[in-house]
Amino acid sequence: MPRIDIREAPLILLSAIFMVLLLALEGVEAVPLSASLIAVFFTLLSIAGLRFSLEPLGYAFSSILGFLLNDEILVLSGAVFLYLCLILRGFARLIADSAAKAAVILVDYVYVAAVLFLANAIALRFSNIIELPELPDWFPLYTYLMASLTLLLMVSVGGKAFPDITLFLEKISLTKRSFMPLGNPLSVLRFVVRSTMFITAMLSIPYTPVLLLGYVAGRVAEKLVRAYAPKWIRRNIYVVTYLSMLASTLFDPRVFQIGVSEEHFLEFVRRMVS
Amino acid sequence: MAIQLSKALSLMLTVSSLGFLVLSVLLMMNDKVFAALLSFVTGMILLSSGISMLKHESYA
Repeated sequence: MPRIDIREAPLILLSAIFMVLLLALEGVEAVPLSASLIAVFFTLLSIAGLRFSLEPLGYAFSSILGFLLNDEILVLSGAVFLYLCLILRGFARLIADSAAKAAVILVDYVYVAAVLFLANAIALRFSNIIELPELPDWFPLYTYLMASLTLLLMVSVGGKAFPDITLFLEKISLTKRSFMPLGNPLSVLRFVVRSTMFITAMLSIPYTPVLLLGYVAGRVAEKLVRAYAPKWIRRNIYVVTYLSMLASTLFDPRVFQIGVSEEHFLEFVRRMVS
Repeated sequence: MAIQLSKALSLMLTVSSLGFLVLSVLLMMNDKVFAALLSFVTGMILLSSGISMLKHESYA
């Protein structure tokens, strides 16, 4: 059951009103788009029961100040500031609560940061107010990876039919007492298969998105087939996704010829982002 | 007879999985990333099936 912390509700409401006022006063173009998006995003998160409140205000403040002062570093630093706040909160939880819970929270924050950076990148891209800053070499790649992860995460959170990321998080966040118990080597193999299919789907976005479509279709089909399949298929249900991905390669046979060298990849991402 | 057949099949699956894994390394060395990844997944699935059959057989 979603919970709303009453004590934090006024702050959330205040930040939302603040954003709406800015929209009304400054006009759409002059409004720090990313700050508004994030405020809405966090308001929704808060309603869903995840309690974030002070951070969006700090983030919005930094973004707005950046736009007003025409300082692109300040705009980007908003996200960094918020990310630091979230990490601090995670560490606070670590002290106050159990390590396992804090680990889950910290890992989740990596994805929250991805959303923030994506929103900021979009805002900077479509904003005519300031020039794009000189980005370091790794930045487009980072944005691309985070954007891909975010896209898949949104499907995962929204659909509930895509537990690969959850599984991955569960494994790396040490939520269970032993990391991948070796009693059953099959579980390790299945985990490797699922992770590789997930990574392949993610990598395929800029080159041949048909693989991603095959992956998503396969995951949906898995969900549908699971209820009716006999037990021995249910145990290896990931084969459905695998077959779907293989079938998708029929629509784009050059999949097997695509070579991805490092320079080529970086150049592609750079062109896509800029 | 059935056990022998299952043992032969599981060994065949395991050996062919190794072939796919070697192929994935070769493809990766030639920059064929997606082909390598798909080959890797195929190898892992075959290996998983092979081990699964072997385990099943040992229980039997």
